[in-house]
Amino acid sequence: MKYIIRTILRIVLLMLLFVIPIGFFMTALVLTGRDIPLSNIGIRNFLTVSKNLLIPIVLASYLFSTGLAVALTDKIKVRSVFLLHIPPLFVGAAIGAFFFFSGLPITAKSATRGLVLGYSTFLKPGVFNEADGSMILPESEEKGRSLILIYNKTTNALLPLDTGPLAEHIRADATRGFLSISYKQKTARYSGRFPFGAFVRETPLTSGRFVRFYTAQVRSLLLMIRGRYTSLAGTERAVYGFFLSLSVFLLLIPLVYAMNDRGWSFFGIIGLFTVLFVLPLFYRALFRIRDVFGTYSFLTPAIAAAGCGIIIDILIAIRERKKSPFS
Amino acid sequence: MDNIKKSALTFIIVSFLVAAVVLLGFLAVFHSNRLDDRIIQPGSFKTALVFSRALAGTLSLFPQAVIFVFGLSFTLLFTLSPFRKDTFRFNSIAVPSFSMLIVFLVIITLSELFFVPLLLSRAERITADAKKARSALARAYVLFEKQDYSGTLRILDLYFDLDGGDRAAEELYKKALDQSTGSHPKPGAAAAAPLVEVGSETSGPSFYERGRTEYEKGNYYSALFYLERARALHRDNKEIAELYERSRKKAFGALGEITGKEEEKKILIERKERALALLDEESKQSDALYEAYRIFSDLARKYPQLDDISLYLATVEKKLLEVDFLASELLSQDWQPGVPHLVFFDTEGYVNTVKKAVWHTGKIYFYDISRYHTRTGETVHAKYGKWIGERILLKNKEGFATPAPEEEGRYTIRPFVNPLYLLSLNGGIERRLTVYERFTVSEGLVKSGLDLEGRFVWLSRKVGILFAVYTLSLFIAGMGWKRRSIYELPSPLKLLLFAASLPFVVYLFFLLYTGMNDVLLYAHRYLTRLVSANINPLVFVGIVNAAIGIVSTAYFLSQNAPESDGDSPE
Repeated sequence: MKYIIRTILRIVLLMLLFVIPIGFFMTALVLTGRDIPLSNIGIRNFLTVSKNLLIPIVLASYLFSTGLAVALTDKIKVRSVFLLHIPPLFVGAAIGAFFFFSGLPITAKSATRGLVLGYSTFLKPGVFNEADGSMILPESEEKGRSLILIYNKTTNALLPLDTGPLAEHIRADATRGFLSISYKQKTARYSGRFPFGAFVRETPLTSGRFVRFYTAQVRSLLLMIRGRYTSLAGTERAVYGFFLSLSVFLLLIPLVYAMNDRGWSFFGIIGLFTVLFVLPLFYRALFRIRDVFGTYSFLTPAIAAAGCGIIIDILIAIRERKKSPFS
Repeated sequence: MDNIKKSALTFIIVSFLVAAVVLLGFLAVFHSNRLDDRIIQPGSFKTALVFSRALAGTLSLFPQAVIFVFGLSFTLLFTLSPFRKDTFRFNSIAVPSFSMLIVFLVIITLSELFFVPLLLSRAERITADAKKARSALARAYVLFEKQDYSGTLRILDLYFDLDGGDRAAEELYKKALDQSTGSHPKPGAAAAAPLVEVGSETSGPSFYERGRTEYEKGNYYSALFYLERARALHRDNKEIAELYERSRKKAFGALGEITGKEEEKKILIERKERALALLDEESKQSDALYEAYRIFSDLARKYPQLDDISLYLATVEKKLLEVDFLASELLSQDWQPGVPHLVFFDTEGYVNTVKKAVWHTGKIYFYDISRYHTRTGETVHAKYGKWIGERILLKNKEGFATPAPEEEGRYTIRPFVNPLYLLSLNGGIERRLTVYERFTVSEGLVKSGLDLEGRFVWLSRKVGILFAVYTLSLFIAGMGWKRRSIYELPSPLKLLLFAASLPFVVYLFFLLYTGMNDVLLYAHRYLTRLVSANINPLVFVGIVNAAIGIVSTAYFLSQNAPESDGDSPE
């Protein structure tokens, strides 16, 4: 009992420690995934997105903290690998109950709800901003007048637009994901639409192949999960969510525990990141296997993952029984 | 130094070198596969380009490599046989490893500030040369088809200057040489042939003798006509100079009417004298040169048979080419791919767009230039431009012509930076600026319209990289040391998994640390609004990173405690 309480406290402490950095990282990834540059996003917008992603952030922090707690646990003090599942279940149940009754949104689709974007999010004033074969320079001048210069690289044509306040002519649509520039005067007319992705500048988050590959896998997996979720109705959704979440822990805990080498617990930490990297790829593969279990076919991936986790648990238990207590 | 310290240093250095070589090899293969063989020809360019990019990539990944080496050393390598001794303690390896970390940090600093930008610049130059060589060869074939053999040979000379050998090009060169009627200057010795032949006195009486004959006959203008040319050829000859002066006095002091032909010669001599005075060394006004050019070109048109006029015209053209240019010079290089679509601000408030800019043998040419003044809305168009002196001169027509004073500003561009930097504006120049250029040129580039972050923000990011290496290396080394066991090693499968996972985990940690540094830089904006506008971002970031560095140093050194030497964790 003491061990269970201590592990619960450890998981909660780690969650409190890591929820902010994980929240930052996830918010940055979501914004970058929607081609919204971070260079001038504004702290208010950042916190808005973080708030929209509260449940995913807490879940990710919970997942990470559970894995870290198992990775750092002293194997001598663990009487049975099956008991190791109990503390995370307690914490998970508490979190689940809290969010169930809070009514907060859980899908990343609404992550950009409440986001207020302007031209300054995408265009730096006084410089030529590259976008889709054009270069756009917004400049606010005196007495409320502004100048927008649009240079078309294909035709080598420069179009100067002498305007009023820039915000009237340059608008960002966060839902549809494009920046529109419109100008209509007797002397000149212009209407252009630029997708947000045209303004993305290279950063490690956007250009790192490793990060891009991983986030693409996670995004694809989330789409698969959501696709199946929306095809269900009523209690099936709750059952689906519950069993899928349970399967993650049933698989994660024995995998990380297996990585936790008593003599080399640093490897346990490295192993945790390895498992977290491999998990989305594994689940993607599971979502592709043929559905079985009849009416409950939507539970196939969850049951397959849980089954793998239970098998690993059994193998670990058998191995630990064979080996001496000090190995 | 005892054996353990030597072994520790050896392990760290060898591990680092192995990691660097593996990275270099991997990146060389990666970049080699990515290169488009249609653009990068011939083969010698590809080797140089792949090597430059691979080396730049390897140096860019040095920070992660150092952290990886430290992680691997303090977990695995320092449990191997040279370290399985009773006397082995943490402090045996703490000092050597910390010293190596400082050395690595110096290498990384030099790489980030100098080596990587220089290598990327070199790669950019090689790419430009490869494109130029490809265009030159294509152009040579076109000219050969048009039977312009001298043009073909000239272009192939340029091609061979860029790339030493190519069998197809050499065969084409031989064919063009066989077909061309005249002799062709040897490759590499393509000095411009003089515009006119210098007149010689080898046939018939010399200019002096003819002049003296005319003087004796009393035809003073005719005498001047010949004596002036004799004086030009023999400047130190006192006899010619004396006879010339006597003829001059007689000619301009003569009373009475002169014949029509004499009149014509008088005008010719007067005009020529005026032009020569303008061309004089003391007269350094460029307007004078243009006037001299106008006179000599007019005289050369009227009297094409006069070689000395042609010679003087060539002289004044040569002087004018120091301050002006001929459109034909640009048209002859129009075939080059160059750098397309430039747009930049200049010091006079114009936005300039350039359809194409070409760099060739130290000169920079601009084609199809448009200017727009952001305040007045004034526009200017010019077909040709060349960087001369400290400005870009524009013109629409062939020939030398001094613009009207009110027009001069419109046809002169004074950029904020040297045009060589303008030619790189479209191609990721921010990664190719060394620290020196960041402090000398970046302000001009920003004023030109380039989206470049401030030099202190850039330096803050570099400080973040250095502290990421320092902090993560010490922290991971300390954690790895604390949690290892010298009594047993993990199973081979786990060891393999560990060695394979560690580089990616290190990469992730590095990304997270530098991301945190970027958050600090972002927070600095709010700090300047709320606290003080004078807080330098470099100082702010430096202080925070230094505090983290102190914590990691303390954690690393705390591993020196006796109970942490080789014991099982927790």
